Amino acid sequence: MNLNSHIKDFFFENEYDRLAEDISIIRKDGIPVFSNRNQSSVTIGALISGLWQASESLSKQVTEKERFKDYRLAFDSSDQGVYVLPVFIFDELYFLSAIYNKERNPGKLKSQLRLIKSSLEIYMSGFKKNKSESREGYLFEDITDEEIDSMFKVSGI
Amino acid sequence: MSFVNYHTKEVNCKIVYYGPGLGGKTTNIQHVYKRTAGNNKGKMVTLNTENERTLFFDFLPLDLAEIRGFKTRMHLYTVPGQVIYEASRKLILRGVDGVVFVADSQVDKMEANLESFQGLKNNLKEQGYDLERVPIVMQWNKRDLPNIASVQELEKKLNEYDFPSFEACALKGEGVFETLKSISKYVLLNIKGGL
Repeated sequence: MNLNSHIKDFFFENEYDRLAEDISIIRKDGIPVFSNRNQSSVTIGALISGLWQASESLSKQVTEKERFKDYRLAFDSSDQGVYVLPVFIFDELYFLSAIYNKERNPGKLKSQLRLIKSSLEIYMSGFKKNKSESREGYLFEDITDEEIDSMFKVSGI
Repeated sequence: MSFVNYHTKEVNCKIVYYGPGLGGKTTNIQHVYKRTAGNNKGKMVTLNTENERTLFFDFLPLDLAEIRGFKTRMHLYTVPGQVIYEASRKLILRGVDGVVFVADSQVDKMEANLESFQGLKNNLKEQGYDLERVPIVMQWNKRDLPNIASVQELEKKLNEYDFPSFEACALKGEGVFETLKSISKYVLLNIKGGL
């Protein structure tokens, strides 16, 4: 079991993955660690991370805050939009993002997402950081040019 | 900051193409996108101005074959090259694992190259990176144009750290994959967390 598996269990066991068309948990560098749909999750991760970081920088124009842990980010109309919340897992920043469409009660959805954020933080605090995340040394001691060529061959390059 | 999932045996790395405006950063990853087989690439995202200059970033996720049992995905980003977008460049460099510096070989672009490289150094330093420990590859682009600086001159003025360098004509695809393969290798060798 690792972080991704814990998060996946949390969403599927509670059926939170059904709340919106796209629900994702994204690392601060844009890499998705959970998504209720595989398609485009990497792209969504990059955009959500960029969006949040740009918004943080904008907010810093008027505040001295260093962490925006109680902030929310919304881009929406009356029935569709994007909603992003910061989530802290093992003291690291992640994003809980929801992209929704034809939502009758977006206010209720946002409220549910805020509760999910808190529940997820409490749920994850029950686990210890995986040992694999604090390994020493390098993953690859050496890599040959031939191995790199083979890596790229699968992409038709 | 690369992400290694030991459970699913996946490696994710972030590579940023950096350099002066109109130097060919977007052209590099557009060529990668065009040449890559459908299943191995995600959507290419471009956040452009009306006149097709990069406003925030371009992004291309690229799935590669396994290496030593690890599935590898490279996240390719470009920064906007125009001087006014310094704040965006800083954001995009966050968590970077490797940088391709795309220099414009034209003689009259040397000043812009130097200014951009100095900006890269400052931004990496500001984010706590040690320049000599970040994998960086230099690309001398637009080698097909007239009135270009010699490779020796580019090396002397821009490559004081002796990073690996490649000549390229990104518009024709020349040197694009050589550069990408090189930075990929250095990035993978730099991933912390032994088995």
